[in-house]
Amino acid sequence: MTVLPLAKRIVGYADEQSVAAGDDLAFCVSGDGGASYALSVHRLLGGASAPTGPPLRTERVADLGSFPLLPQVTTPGSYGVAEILGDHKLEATTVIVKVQPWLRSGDQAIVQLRGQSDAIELGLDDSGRAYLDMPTGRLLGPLVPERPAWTTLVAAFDGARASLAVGTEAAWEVQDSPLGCTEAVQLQAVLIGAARGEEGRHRHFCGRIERPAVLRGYFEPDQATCLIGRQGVPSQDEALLLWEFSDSLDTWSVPGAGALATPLVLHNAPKRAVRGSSWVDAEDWRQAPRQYSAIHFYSDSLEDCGWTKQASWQVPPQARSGFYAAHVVSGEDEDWIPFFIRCSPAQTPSDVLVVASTATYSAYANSRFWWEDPIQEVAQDRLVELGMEEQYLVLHPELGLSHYDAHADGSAVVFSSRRRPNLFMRPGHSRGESYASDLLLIAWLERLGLTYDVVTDEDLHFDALRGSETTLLDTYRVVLSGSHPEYLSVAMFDAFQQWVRSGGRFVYAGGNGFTSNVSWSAERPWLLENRTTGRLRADPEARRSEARHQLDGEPGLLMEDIGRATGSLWGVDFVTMGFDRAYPIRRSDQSYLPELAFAFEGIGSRIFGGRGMFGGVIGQEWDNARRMLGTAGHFVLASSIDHSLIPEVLGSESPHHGDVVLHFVGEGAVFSAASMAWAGALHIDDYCNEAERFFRNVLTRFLDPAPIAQPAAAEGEPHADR
Amino acid sequence: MTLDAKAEQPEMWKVTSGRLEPSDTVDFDRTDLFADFIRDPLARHGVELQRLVSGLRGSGRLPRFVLARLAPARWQIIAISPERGSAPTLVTPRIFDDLRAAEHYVFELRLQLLGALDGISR
Repeated sequence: MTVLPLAKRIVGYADEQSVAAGDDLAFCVSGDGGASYALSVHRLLGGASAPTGPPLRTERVADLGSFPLLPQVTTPGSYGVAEILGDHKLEATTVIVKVQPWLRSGDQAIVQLRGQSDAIELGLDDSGRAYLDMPTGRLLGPLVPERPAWTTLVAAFDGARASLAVGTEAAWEVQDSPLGCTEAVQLQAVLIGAARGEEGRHRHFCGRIERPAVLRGYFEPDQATCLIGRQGVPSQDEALLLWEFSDSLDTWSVPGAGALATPLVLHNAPKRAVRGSSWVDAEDWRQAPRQYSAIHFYSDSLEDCGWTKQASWQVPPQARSGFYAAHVVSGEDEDWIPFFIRCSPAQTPSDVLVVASTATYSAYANSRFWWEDPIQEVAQDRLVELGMEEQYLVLHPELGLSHYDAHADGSAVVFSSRRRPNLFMRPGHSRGESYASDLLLIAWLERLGLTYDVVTDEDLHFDALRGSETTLLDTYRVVLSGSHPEYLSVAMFDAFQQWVRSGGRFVYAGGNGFTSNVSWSAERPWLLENRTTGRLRADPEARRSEARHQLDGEPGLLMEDIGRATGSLWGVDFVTMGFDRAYPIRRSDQSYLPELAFAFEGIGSRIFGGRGMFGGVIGQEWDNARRMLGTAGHFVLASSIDHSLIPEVLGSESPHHGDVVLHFVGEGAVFSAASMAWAGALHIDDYCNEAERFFRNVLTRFLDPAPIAQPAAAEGEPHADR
Repeated sequence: MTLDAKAEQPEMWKVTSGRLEPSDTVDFDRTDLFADFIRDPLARHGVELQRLVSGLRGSGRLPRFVLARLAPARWQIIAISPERGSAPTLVTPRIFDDLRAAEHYVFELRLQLLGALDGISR
């Protein structure tokens, strides 16, 4: 019997995450096989955050029928490929490349020259020795040192001999062989960082590769290094192919030089904008691209599962904007495949816009650190529990990693893709946070009978990048965030700020929000880049020199480090976390100012919000106003009390309570609930509780177009009675 | 999840700062703390016990023990394989229907394993 009996047996993803009326959407599903599955499309009316939340309610929108359930193959691992057109026979040939290996793990291909059914491959074996595989056999070469060393490999062969040299221009270790490549390979493709065979792609390289080149002729190592020397490109008589990896660094394709000049297209998210062998002191790849002439390849990165699309759906014209999911059911097994429908230009927008925190959903996609790293058990002060999603992921690492995980070679994961099942983003997920909690906010909106529209972070980002004077925020009176909108782009931050200053009213319904900068790929918008990860920042060298995003050159830093402190708009900044319990709040003295009375209508208690799925309203990850106290237009309405020791275990300094804040900014206003746990308290006692009333009071007032009177000045010390 | 305060440290999640400074070096004479934990593993603990419990939970010297849910309110304790994709190991065939009992079991197991690693017999 398996020790993970609850592991899901059917999973899927949609090829797009955000669609509007008239758009097409396709679903990709994989399962154990041998049966069929039924697929229906539902609008999610919220609920279902495990274990004690309200039940998931949905509205069935379409039945798409039954489909055969098949196991679909996922092959992680990054690589570059140049598909060669025309007739090119490899006779006397030399391959030269620089490498910095990061991990020894079986055979790893560095350069593969692929023919119809045969190939020549330069790689490293399990012991770290270079090899040259030819149809006639393997030539095993010298040992290649691991990082931080950079080493040049030169492999030369013709019909009667071969040699494999490892070293630098100053000293070579050479292994010669009388075994040549007697049958010339008809070149069809060049792979960098992996090999391709009849059975698929494999032997992925873990580490950095720089300036691979294929030369015409059999050259000694010194001759080859002279030919491809850094100053210029060799003549086409000698160079068949050469790629300078610092060219077009913000794209997923490297232009090719040499006689064939074929571009190398990158797949499965290798990392560019990393230090190369010539790195000296640069901190920004845009200022000194030649110092960033390497690409980091991984055995376990994943950009796109590439599963067969079995079912497709066109969004009907009348479809309401909202959270949606495809429900796939096979016997007792099921999965929910989330997506979002935004308001189309032909529809009338609502007053409320919910921003689905898709950047954060993606950053945590398929996180393994929950169980691989002790931090989570420490942070929650109880054993980590694996639900059906986590049990599946334990057994299926091929579905890729989150920004909180490490690659097999120990390096930071900086790309996350939505073209894969994201099992962190499921209704009723056992951890009950982020997407699962956001469905509790949706349930609350539905309960209030409010209409609302939904957009994703990605929608807002690309809308803001248009540079238009108007943004899609402009038609809304109130924007409501999710429970954990941690990640956003600079363009999004600026759009939010401009909108609030111009009179927008923002309800921040979460915690640890708007903290860290991410970028999306315009070329492949399903990819999110994040160089704020703790793992990257923990490496001082990488933090200094590799924190610039390759996609747009923006710094991968906390927002506060790039002149956009969270508190300057939302009135609070992230302070700490603790997943052990959540806490009530106590009204501040200044909350009794008459202008703020609207928020407390119907609330008799000074301390409230002590009940919820997580124990209270302030919990999991939360923010406070320590950096904003006393600033104009800033009012602390209430603060959490009675904290456990877990924040201190995690190194938090006092004060680490949470603050609920009203912040007047320009012509607009922001309410910050400042806690991830807030959403889990709304449904208590069938939505009849003081935390819900308080939250509803604020939303109702924010929807009222009448100006909100701002108290003349903050009076009273907000934490005087703590 | 942002832990910027630890960004300068060599390990991303190293838990060392703050007043509590958890440690997995156990004083086996503090049976009073052990008894305190066993009385209610999910209770709020005092500083000394929290330091001990968090030190055990965060120990990098022990296997990663987690709960695999079998059904609502039914769990087994498993040890995660250090090799991704490999099946975890069942720690005990016992099925737990009480989280406190599972916490108690893992607490004792960790003490036993750390005692063995540190050459201390209990």
